[in-house]
Amino acid sequence: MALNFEKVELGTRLPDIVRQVNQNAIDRFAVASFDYNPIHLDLEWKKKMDHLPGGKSTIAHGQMTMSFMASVLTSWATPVGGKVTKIDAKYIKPVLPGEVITCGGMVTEKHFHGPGKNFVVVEIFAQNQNGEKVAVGEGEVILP
Amino acid sequence: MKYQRLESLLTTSKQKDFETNFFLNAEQYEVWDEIKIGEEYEAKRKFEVKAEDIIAFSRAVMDPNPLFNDEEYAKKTVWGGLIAHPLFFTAIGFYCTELGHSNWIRTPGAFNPGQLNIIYEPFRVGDIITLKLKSTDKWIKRGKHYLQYQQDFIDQHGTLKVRRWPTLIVPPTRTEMRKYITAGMEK
Repeated sequence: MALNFEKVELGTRLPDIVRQVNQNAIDRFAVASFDYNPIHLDLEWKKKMDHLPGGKSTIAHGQMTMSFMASVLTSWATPVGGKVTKIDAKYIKPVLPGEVITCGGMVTEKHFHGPGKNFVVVEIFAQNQNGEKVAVGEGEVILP
Repeated sequence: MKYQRLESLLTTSKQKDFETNFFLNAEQYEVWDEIKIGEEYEAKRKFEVKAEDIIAFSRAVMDPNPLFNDEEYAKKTVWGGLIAHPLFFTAIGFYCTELGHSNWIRTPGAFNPGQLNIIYEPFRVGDIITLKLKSTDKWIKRGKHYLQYQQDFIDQHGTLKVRRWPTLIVPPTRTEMRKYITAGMEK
């Protein structure tokens, strides 16, 4: 059954995605995002600044984690012409190189604004391999 | 290049042209206690969206969605062509604010507590994006200093594509910021 606003139900779980985060992945995100903050890239500097999140380790960009969370929404909605219109997230725990991040979501609200404007709210999350939440938030998706 | 290991990862013309050493020129970065709220600016640099930019970002976030990666596929969909991953504004924001206002987002020692982003239209190849900035808030919570701007991403037709509120926890003073910079310049 094709995804559409009329038929989607509250409580629908979106398929999870899983991403392996290592220093090479962090490096690639730095290059693609132009965010070369040393907290993500410079291990020698980070060891001196170990009062920052992650202690003596570099950490992944928060925006990379949010990108994974957004991918949960787009993988689900864009094939049917759905459009992501809002992403709001809070980072709870830093993501360290070597972690495996699972992201998912659940439809929690339906907003009836008319054809082409009807949207759902999806509660989204990211958690590490230990089941600890690293980010939580919500997205809005216009569905046909 | 500050980090030699990244050199082989550069694929686009903008990536190859960008200053990657965030410690360099850090003395010119805006600082929490000096910023006035309510001021508005336009970033000096514009961002012309090319297919290589969109594809590089989607690969970096490991998203195989062909709408973000495959021009021929995307042309045949309701979207009519490549669209950028929703978080692509991250690249535009950093690229455009390399020089001038809002450069505090480059501050060594700054870190990200979370973000609110409203997306009106996806970025597409051929968009020429102007970034407009407004200092919207600064506050202290549990001993940490937060700084927030509003960023408006506007295309060449005047269409607002994204409005967002980047927020970072930052060193509160220039003296504090210098500690992070000094540590980075030491050999």
